[in-house]
Amino acid sequence: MPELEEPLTVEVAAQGDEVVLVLVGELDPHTAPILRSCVDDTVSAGTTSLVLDVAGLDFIDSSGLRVIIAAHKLMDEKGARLVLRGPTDNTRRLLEITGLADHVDLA
Amino acid sequence: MSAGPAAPGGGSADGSARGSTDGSVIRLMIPAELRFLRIARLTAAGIAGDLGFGLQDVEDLRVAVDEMCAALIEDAEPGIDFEVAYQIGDGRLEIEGRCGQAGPPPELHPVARELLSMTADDFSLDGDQDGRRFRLVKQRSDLTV
Repeated sequence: MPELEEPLTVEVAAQGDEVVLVLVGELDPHTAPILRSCVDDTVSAGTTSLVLDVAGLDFIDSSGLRVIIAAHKLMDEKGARLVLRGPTDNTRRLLEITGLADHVDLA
Repeated sequence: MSAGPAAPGGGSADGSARGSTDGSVIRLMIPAELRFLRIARLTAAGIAGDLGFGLQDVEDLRVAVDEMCAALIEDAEPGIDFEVAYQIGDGRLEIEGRCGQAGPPPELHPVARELLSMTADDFSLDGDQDGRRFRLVKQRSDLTV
């Protein structure tokens, strides 16, 4: 079977002590492991500030939110900071429904 | 994907020609694999858009369909088919999923349940030795009293 177009891309950019993961596409149970792996790698590298740029996310569901929750916990345990940058109205709505908006820094 | 009438159509919710499709069922058959979830979402969004659902309703429907489909097929064995039937009603869409994976109804993660409670009007999961099923209802919020 031909390969389907990759529904999520994650670009990693280091800016000083800060690591930015730029997400473009759809974050669902199929693609969430891609982000989880990137987050794990970044946290393992000792980053003190992680930014998830989600402005390019066209879709997110509970599996994506769970990766963000896990990332927040990981960073929090290390005394590090997680920021969600540029959530769309829909992403922001889901963050609010689940209460995640109260725990994660939004920019 | 196939379409056909399931029952005599009712009247139009908004008086438009869209009412002529009431009762129609659009069936989507896809492999029970997570990479095909987006096809089920896109189909739901396309149908809802054609029926005059507002943007927020369409976005909510994409999330709700995704959550229900994911719950049904997340641990499905390879080679199993998954059917999603979109039944057009009067100002509403009723969506049923059926997967040949035998077993009890899958448990929804609390985050998924929270999202579903805010994005769907009704939802249920079922399962037995014949397979797993879900039912999901989304109504046009602009027609809800």
